[in-house]
Amino acid sequence: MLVTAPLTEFCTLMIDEIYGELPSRVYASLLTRGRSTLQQLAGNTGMNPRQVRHGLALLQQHNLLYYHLDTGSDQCFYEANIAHAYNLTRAGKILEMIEESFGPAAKDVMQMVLLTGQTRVGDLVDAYQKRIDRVNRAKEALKADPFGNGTDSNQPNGDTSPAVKPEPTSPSKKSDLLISSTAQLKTIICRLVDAEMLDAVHKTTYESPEDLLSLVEAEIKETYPSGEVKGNRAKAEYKDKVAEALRKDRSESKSLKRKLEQNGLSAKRRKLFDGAASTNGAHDEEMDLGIDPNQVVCINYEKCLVELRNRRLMQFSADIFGTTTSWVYGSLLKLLTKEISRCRDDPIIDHYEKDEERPAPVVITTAQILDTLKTSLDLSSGLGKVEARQISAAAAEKITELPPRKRFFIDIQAEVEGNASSDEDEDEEDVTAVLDLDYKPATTNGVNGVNGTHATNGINGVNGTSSKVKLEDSGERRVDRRTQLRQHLLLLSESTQGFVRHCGVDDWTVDFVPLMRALRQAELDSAIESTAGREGIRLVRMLRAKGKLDEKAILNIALMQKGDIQRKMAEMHKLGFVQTQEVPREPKADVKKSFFLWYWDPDMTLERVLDVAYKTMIHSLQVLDLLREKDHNVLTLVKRTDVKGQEEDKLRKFYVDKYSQFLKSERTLLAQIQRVDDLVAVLRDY
Amino acid sequence: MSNRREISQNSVPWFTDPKDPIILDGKPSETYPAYDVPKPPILTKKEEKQLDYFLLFREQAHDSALYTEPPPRTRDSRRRTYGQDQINSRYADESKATIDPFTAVETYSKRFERKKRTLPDFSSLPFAKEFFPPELHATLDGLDEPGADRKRRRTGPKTLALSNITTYGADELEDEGLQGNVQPNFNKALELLENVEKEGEEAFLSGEEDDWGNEDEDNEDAADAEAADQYDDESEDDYNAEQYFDNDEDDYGDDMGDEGGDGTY
Amino acid sequence: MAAPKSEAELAKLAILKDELYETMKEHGSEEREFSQADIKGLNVIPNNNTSLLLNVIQALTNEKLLVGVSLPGGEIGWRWRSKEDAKKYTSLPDEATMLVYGIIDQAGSDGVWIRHIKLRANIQDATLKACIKVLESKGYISSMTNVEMPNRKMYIRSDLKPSERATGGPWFTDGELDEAFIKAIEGIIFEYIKTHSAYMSRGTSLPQRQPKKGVVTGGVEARAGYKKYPTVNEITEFIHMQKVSSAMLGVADIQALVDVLVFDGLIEPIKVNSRKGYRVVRPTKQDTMSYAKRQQEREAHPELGQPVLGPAPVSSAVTEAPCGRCPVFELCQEGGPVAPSTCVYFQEWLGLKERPAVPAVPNGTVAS
Repeated sequence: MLVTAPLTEFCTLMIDEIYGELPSRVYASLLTRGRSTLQQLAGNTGMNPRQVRHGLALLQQHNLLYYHLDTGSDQCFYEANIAHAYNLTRAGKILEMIEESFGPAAKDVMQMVLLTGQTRVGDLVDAYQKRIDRVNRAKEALKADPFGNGTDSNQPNGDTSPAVKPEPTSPSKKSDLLISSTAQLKTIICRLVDAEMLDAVHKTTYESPEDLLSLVEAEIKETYPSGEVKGNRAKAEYKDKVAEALRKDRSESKSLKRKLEQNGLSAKRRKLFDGAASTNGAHDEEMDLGIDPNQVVCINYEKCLVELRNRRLMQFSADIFGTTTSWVYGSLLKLLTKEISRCRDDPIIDHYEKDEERPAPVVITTAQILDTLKTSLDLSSGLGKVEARQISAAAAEKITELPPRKRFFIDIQAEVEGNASSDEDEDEEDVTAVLDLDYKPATTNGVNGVNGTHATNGINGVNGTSSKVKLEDSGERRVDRRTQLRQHLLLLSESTQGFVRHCGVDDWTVDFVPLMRALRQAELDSAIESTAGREGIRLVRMLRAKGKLDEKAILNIALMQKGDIQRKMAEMHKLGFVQTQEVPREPKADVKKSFFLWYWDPDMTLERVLDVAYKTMIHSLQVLDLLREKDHNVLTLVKRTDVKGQEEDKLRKFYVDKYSQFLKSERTLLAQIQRVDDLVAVLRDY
Repeated sequence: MSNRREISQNSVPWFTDPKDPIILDGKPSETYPAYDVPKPPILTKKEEKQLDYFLLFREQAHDSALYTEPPPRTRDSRRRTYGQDQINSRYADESKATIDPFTAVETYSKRFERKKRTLPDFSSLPFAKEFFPPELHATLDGLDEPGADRKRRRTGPKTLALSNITTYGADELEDEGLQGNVQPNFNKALELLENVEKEGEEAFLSGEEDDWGNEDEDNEDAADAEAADQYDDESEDDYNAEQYFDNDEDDYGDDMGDEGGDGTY
Repeated sequence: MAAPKSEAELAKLAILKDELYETMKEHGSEEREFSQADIKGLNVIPNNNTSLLLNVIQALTNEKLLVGVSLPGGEIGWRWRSKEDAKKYTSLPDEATMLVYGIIDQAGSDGVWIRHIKLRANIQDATLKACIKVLESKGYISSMTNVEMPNRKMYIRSDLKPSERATGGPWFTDGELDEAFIKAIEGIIFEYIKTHSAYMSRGTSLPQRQPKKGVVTGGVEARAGYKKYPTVNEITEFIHMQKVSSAMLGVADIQALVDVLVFDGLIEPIKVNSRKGYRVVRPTKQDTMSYAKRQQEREAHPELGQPVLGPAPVSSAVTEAPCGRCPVFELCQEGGPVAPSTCVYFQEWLGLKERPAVPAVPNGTVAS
């Protein structure tokens, strides 16, 4: 993650928004000054060491810091974990995702862990146990006093009497605890650990990547004679060793998962997933795999982002192919990413000297997808109804065994210059089937079952057009689900974005690197288009396809008025979407005699859009701050313990209106931050 | 030679077509020139939900004993700063300079206001100390006090509790509440109405700036000590869960607990 | 070279002259450049006497019937010129005018810039102006514009049509980009591609099934392996059949427009087997309205901001907030005159304040 000034400012504001001023001041100093000791922080912030210690302790509790302590030294260095600070923005998304994938009870647990920061399992169990006890007691009390007003008379006059009474609610509500037993809680923890949403906190969790690297490097160098790595082969080997050691360290966070697996998790996993499918986490089979109550867990943002990315990819595919195809895609992604722990490989940790040592990409079969697909999903929708003779089975079923090595950018220029359409192989296929109903791709013989798979459906041989409609209807039901499923997958494989790679007859995989590159470009394009209009994006795509162009060349290709082009280019240059390069005509490089080439730089555009995104989020929080200042009176009122929860009854209409308007503005501002974050995620994290 | 200049000028980025020149009217530009401001997008159901969860998460975080509420912002706090000293002094000023003489006076209704914390209170919460640097351990134990050798007094059990906050914002106002299972307590409402109105007027009279002062540190310490004592007294209370969020017994120490964090999000 | 003396010699010269001229005409067009060897090969001059040959050529050149050119090897060569054209030269009053006309003539259908004439002829501005005036009054030359360099004063022989390079091809009318024409053709191409992307091509022959609850269907539904995505050749043919334009639109012209549509993000190239066709992007987001109807609707309601072609673009989170296209974005900072806390755009965005009293005034007409 490129740490820029707007990013640090936003993270500071976000910490202020969630955890308050003290930690945010400490954090701001860590972000601007970098690695600091307690004393340095005190000096920089003008706070006393006690305040700084409190701030640091809070930040550390919430996994927002790295720290490093050299053995034998008492000087501790702190660093900001800016990725985690930024991820606070995503709390709502993560919780919503957990709820959808694991049920509301799991969401409740996740929320608790998110709130607490690093959490000891035993403490978590105790906290839930207490709530369960309390509710049980309340139920009994309610039985004794069914109208629930026994204590109302005590307040509000008594000085030390309890002020707020729980509102009387029906007993059924009371019993609707999401988690009604600690066994259930443990089951949920197991499931979240298994899905890698929760990680084990371990000895090096809070070492910064740099510290960890130098620790590992030092350790490995010691094994070399005189601690030096000489020669190319040794260097390569050393690189591999470092990567391997780092991977080993990284896997420490999965130690809990492994332990659970040893205790028989995998045997029960099947049932766990069934439980997840029934969303309403009702009462899954309880299982206590013996989690050590002393184990400390924390949220694993990396894996959460993988899940969020899956959803984003579904959204992208829905925009292109419709919702049905996107559901199919969602199922594929879910299966595929089960073993994928992070969106992007680390260049050092995930380095392999030999390609064959690199873990092979996960491949999912058609049958696996079929097994997980929601039964209510109608696969017949979202597919074009085309006559069989208009389909080339060979093209549809094309198998690409190897991942694309080269840059993915859809190179329009190459395409355009390639050939002006050779219309060959038009009639290569049979014209027998009138309708496509029985169109069945090569399920039998692998690569290209050109003919013969249009199965023989008897009735369909009829060629009267009048009966077409009927046939269509009756015929469609006969297309089996598996064939339809494959149709959706083939559609995704054919996409220019590369959503899916068809890597074997019934094998499917996703090359995330080129796919995400294509989608980043799509996001940039829509940012450019919505800022500079369709003409703007035309010019940008043109430069992307053709490389550097001077104005005359642009004029020829863009088919726009010269004045329009100049205005648009100047506008986009100011916005940072296009760049110019000066090419002098003579050694003296007189500007007046130079000519200028326009070009598009993906990195600069990305930085620019990220910059605007961060600033938009900063500004939203600052405007929120202003609104808080303006509505200070109302906000103070509603926070009062005697008002909270009953604003409408306790406040005058004037205040109620003001408050609801504030809430509406707050929602609008924060919602926009969430939406902008969706963009940031694609551009930076996925 | 002259023709070459002409050629090159045609292709420079800032060249303007004489047929279509850029007109400058020479007027200074507005601070906020006319601009067709977009409309906020309509959120999907999923986004609404995500937002609800974010807001709830934030509210619960604010309710934690670790939360230090910032003092109300003023126009001054937005002034441009040059260098760390100015930033620091901005914070330093706030506690005393922003006290409003009208509302700084203790009033009856003030007891209902949420107490503000200037330091996170770690005393009642459990921590996995092994993952903290040693220099922070005392802080986590609640022993990080200015008076160097104070007696160890925070020895009560450190327990985690679930948040009582189950709603925020729109839900409270129930104009589009999702669950709407919060039954207003009408009796209590009526009883308290008067106080609120009074408070409202005061706030109105006091102008728009802050109407609560910031306790300075010593006071806070005193309050802490007091709270801690109370805490110790009642440490056998099963429902000390509530104390996770506020150490002020007056406001929170009810014996039944709230609805609990169950079932409403 | 000595001038011929006798009458007989002059007569012989005249015959040879005519003979050579006619023979050259038989051996090639006005474009053909004859080297000395080529001319000797014509066998017109007895014994191929070089000095006689040169005399004949000199005479023809004087009459402007031959034009000297320099051949690739540095050798001198000649082209013949038609008698009518030659007459134009001989009718000119002086050498300078002839020179100027020669330069314009040589430039052919590309035309020539007046500055270049001046440079090559190496004459004074005033002289040049006079020459141009004469030539224009005789109707030999006319001014033209070159789309690539619209600001240059260019001249071309009146009887020539400016080259495609100069006019910009069929998309230009009188040196101006014909945007209305382009838009119209673009619309036809887009509609053709859209209706030929799988499902739509079946038109109304298939009933639209009721989509299941929660499943949004619509637009164009695709099918993997579809091999009828229109190629540029097919599109060109279709355009011809529509007879939308008197201008001949070649495959290259259509390809240029197709490329623009690709750049606009409306269509994408797709290769099925080796056939390269085009299909609409975001097929399911396409409407199924007819082109004419949609155009009518969208032009009637420009305020909706709907593009004439294709679905509304995907909105970007940065431009949904006021900051994305903010005119003072670069200046905005807390503590400055432009700052989030004083931002009127955000207030308007949140619906807390009305749009400022002075509305955006188009075209600089200032409200007093």
